[in-house]
Amino acid sequence: MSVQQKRLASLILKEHYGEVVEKVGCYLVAKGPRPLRDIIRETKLSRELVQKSLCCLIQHHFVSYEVNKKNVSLYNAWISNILLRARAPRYIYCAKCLFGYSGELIVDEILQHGSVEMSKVVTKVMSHLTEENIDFDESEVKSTFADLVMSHFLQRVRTETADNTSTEDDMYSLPPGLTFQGQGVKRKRSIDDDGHPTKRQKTEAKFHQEFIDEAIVSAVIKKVDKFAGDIVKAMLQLNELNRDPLSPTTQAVSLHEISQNLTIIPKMENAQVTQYLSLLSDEKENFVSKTGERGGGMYCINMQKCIDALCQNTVESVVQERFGSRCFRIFRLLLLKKHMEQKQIGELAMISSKDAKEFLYKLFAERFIAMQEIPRTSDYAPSRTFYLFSVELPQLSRMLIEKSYQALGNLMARRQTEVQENRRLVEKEERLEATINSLKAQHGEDTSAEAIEELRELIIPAEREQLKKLKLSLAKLEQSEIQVDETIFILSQYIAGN
Amino acid sequence: MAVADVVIKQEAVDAVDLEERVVQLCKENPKGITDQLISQDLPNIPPQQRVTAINRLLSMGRIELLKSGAQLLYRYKDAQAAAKTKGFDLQEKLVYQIIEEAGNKGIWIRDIRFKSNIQMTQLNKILKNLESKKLIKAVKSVAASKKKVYMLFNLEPDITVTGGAWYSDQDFESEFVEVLNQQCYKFLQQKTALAEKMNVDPLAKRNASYSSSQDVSKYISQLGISKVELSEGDIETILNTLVFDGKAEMTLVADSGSSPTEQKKLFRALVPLMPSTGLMRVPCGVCPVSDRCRDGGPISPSKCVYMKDWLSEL
Ligand code: SF4
Repeated sequence: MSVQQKRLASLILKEHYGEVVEKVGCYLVAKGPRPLRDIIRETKLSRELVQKSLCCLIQHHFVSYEVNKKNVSLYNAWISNILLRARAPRYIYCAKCLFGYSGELIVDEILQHGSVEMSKVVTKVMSHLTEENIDFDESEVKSTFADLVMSHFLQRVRTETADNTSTEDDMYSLPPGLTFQGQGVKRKRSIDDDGHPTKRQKTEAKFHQEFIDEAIVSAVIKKVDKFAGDIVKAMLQLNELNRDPLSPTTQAVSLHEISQNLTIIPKMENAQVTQYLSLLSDEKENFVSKTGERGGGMYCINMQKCIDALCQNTVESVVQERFGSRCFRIFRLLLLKKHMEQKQIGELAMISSKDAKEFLYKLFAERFIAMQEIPRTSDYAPSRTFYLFSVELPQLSRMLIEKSYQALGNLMARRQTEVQENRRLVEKEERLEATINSLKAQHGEDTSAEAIEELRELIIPAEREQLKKLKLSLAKLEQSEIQVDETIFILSQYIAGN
Repeated sequence: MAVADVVIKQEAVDAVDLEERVVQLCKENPKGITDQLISQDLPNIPPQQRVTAINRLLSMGRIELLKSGAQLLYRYKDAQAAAKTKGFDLQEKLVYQIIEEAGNKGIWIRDIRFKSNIQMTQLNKILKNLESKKLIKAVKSVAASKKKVYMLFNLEPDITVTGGAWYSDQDFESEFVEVLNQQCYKFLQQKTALAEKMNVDPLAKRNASYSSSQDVSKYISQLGISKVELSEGDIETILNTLVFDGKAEMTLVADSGSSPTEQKKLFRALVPLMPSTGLMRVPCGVCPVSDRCRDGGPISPSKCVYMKDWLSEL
């Protein structure tokens, strides 16, 4: 856990949960497992505040506790979970794309609480929908919820007591009771058999799988065409629920299954699908492999290779933008040929030896490439030493993920500064709007437009301008935070697999 | 008169013949010949004439006079070498020989010094001298820009010295390479676009998008952008740079034309996989001072000017 990660965690906690929670969270992140007593003493907060903060942190799975031998509860923070909070907008967006507006609201609600009972979520979502005057049936919301659970986007929180007995299936079971619309889907009651409310949480793993799948499909579309993309998408969907995160490939699926799951109309002929599949397995990146002949041919997707390729692309894009196209050529050359000397690099990349030297130095100085010295004589004389350059992708990814965490932190810090600097103005506007709203509420629709206009004019044009700018800036910063997180996501997927 | 003319000509011809004959004799006996041998070989030539011929040959430097014991020997001398080293002193001759040995790869001045054991200042003088006589020349080597190598004047420098088609005046022609790189890419792209339009199955489409280095080579030579003749190998080098650029991919296929083990390289244009990644779309991704950026420090996100500029370009 690095400095940048800690800083980011602190920024995230502060932004979403306030300064007190941040203080407690950061203390635990820095110190490791600690008992309550220590936390109170060293953060100099009141017992009550600390307990409340811990409660909040535990609910969001940022902190867990265990009882040690001396019967003292130790609280331990999980920084990786805190960092994932930055990805929340993407989870919500994903739910929206897959499950519509109600899906979005459900996931949003659960994200806000960390873990929460289904009934509460449904009630909240319903009240939200009525507020917005959207006509939505409660059963529809419930069914969306069920869909989210069935496709493993949501899961039950493991309870202490049930832990040893709960199986994989239990994690995704729905409360027993009412059958729902005769579909055989068991439905809804927020109280489990033993009388305890079952809390729900979102599962990052499933969302991440979705993101990776998306990235792979769009890469294939770019590389081949949309039909190939459709095939790969069908293959990924076919083993959406039984993916083993440790296996480097997906389970093999047959040609027939693939062609049944294609979405582009008109559907391709089997022969054409086979051609695309063989084309895909011939690609350098080896996204797809053929594993057998059953059912018209069995195919699987090489997940690890896909992730490697995506990561390599990300890293390449960084080099391209940061160092320009000629450095990029040298970098790619090193990726392809592993170890090389400066002279060979210049010759193969067709770059004059003077430039090659300069570019290599630049890349080396910023730690994008590694260098190995191989002395030909025991005196290590520079003139009789080979200097071999190479790219160490895992190492480089780790460095870049650090940079990304830093960038993300910088964006958040900047956003907080922007808000801070304009606080007075923003508050003024909020007060004003509130007054206008209450005026409207008092007098109904016939509130004189003049009065409102007058009130509005309390904010002078220069201030309006500034407010407009602020909003744009904040939007841009937030947008960029999500984008930087995409980089973090790809890199972290690669690092996890290496 | 006419008769006298003929006689004179006859004599002249005889004299030339005589000289040739002497040279011939010398060549046959590389160790040298004595005056006696010549007179035995050419019995009916008057001694007067013989002496004139030998003197002429000696003065032209075609033969040389050696003293072996009590006798004098005439020996054949290589005509050109003779002409060139004429008037050299010993050191000059030595340096010349060292340079001659190095052939068209040339030799570095330091190495000449080691081999000849001549003082640097003296050596410089000799080299200047030889250069001004147009017997040797200095060529800048591409291996190191400051390193000059010397070789005989009439030699064409080796490719390791000149660097081949990519060098002019020993300078690497980066722009030339880039232009070719772009043109090759354009060609491959056109080919892909054509293949895209074809109404055939995906495999055939893929195959149609490949071009061999011969095709590209032909296209480039038709464009006439190169003043020098570019070989297929040269074009392949350029195509390889496209592969490193991530703009093309290469595949090997069995060459149907020649023997079955022979493989042919095919190239096709690629679209880069991803747009620039999220990190690079914010100022911190390209920031030169990111290592020194700290909250509350002199360089900090709150005060950052890069951020400010970036936020104002809405
Ligand atoms: S905040 Fe500014 S100074 Fe800091 S890393 Fe980003 S661009 Fe660079």
